[in-house]
Amino acid sequence: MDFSGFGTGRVEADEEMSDTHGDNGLIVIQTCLALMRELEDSLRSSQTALLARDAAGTERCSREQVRLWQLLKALTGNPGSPAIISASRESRCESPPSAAELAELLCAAAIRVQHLARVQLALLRRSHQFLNVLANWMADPETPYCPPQTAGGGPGYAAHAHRGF
Amino acid sequence: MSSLNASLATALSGLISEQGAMATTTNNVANANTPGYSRQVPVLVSSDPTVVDPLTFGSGVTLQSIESIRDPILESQIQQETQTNGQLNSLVSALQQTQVNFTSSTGDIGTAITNFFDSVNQLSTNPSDLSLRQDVLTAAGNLATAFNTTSNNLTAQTANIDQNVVQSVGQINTLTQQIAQLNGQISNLQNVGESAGSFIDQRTQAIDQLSNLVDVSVIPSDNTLTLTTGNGTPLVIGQTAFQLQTQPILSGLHDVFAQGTDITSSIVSGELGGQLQARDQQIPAIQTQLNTLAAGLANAVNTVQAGGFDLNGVQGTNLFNPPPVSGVGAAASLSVAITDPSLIAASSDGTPGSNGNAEALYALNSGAVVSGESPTDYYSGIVFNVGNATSNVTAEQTASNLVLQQLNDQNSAVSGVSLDEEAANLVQYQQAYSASAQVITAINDMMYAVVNMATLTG
Repeated sequence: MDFSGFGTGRVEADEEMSDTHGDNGLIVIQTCLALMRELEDSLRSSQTALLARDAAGTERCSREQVRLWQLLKALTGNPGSPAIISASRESRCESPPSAAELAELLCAAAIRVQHLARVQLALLRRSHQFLNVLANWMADPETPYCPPQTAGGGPGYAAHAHRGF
Repeated sequence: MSSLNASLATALSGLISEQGAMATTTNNVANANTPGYSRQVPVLVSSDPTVVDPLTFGSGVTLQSIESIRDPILESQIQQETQTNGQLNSLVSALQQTQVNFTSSTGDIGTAITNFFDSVNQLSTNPSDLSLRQDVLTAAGNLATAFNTTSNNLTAQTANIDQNVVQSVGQINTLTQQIAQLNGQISNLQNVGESAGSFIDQRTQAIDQLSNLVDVSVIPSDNTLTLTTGNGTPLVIGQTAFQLQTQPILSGLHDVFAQGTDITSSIVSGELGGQLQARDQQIPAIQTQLNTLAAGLANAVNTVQAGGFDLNGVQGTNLFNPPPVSGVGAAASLSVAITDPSLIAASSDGTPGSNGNAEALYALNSGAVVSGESPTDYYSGIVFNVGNATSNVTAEQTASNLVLQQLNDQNSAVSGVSLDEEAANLVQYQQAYSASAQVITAINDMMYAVVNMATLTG
């Protein structure tokens, strides 16, 4: 699998690296962490783009997020992969963090990414509503300005947010 | 040809108008940091010219009006988002309180279920041991207490939210009264052609505050506004405010009424909408799930008990007092029915050493006893739902805050006071004022010359 272009941008096979299972595990966690951080940055950028109604920026960030997500999926789906990633070579040269520390960092990053993804979803829903309103308004200027109502009468996102309760 | 007096009047109109413009700028600068203030601009128009055949002379300038700069669509968007924001704030607050009951601790239901089945498992290793039997009774008591506490906490939270509903309705009534009064003041001023910018700003702020509390539709009409709830219930029509009332219903909670009609279910946004959603939908749904779990678990344990024999070889009796058949209130009323540890039916054949029924009891831990799930899995589902709902609503709140901030920034760019711009305006008006004054001085000199000439010739 081609991992080039993610993490620090340098993802390559590293023959010198130990191929023991423990080291591989650490490297996988480190790479996941780097990817998560990139995903976090990308989600923040796309939020800014969404708020600024920057369609091109949103599209670019979305593509980036899909790419990062696929890399993450491939990595976590095959942790024993011989593809060795040198995403954090520098950090390993100094005092490498323990697996437990890395796992903790990864967990915290995953929670942040999850929250950001939910926020992104909410912003996308609002943008969709805005476009609907705009389209209706342009089609018929007499249409009163209001967001589309769901069957329950409330804002669509709120109704969806509490499905199951 | 225009007379000197006409020129004097023209110069004077310049002085008066520039003075008015300067007053507007001064007011803008003074209100630079006033929340909700919309900057004002003077509207200067050229006065009707005087025609002195065949020439047309201008007759100066008139300060026609002072207009507040605002974007109605942006204001409408802010009101809509404020409603959503208020609703989400209420929901997040309620769900975070609810979530505390389901966080892992020594007294939570999940731990109590685990401890109960662990004690039963221990008992199965030595079914005639009275201390192990006592442990099972203690764990069952703790389990019942955990259910009671959680259910009571949710009931108390519902009562608190109900009080908030009453308070919110009171605040809504205060605001609609204010808006109706402001409608009157604005209408009176605009009917005589006066600027009502400050009152309109106050009204816009009051509507924003109202939007934070309840879903509001704003319908502008001649010089006034009509406000209704989302489903069209009138709140303000012109100078008349329609009060909402709260009345207790059968459950003891308060519903919201407008002119005798219950509109509770139609209120979906604003803090009130969020409070009602938490009170009437979110918390009852969790209570129902807790009741299902408590009733399912108690019934399953009692059924297994009845199929075994206690330490005296007698057929087992209920370990838990039977929950209500409907399941309603099962969690709040769950209690242990026996106090004698020897009454636990651990034996499957009536001999004291048999552990068959204790094992059957322990098997409930992984059996499909609550809506096709094991008690632990069902409880995990409740915890997941609460956590997921809290996370979703928190993310929605974050998004709403971002959007609202963005809209407010946009609105500030349109309606806010730019001190740089006002400084430039001030210089411009000051120069124009000075120039008009110079013209008056020149006309004065000319008049003096004319008067002297008349004196000399006279």
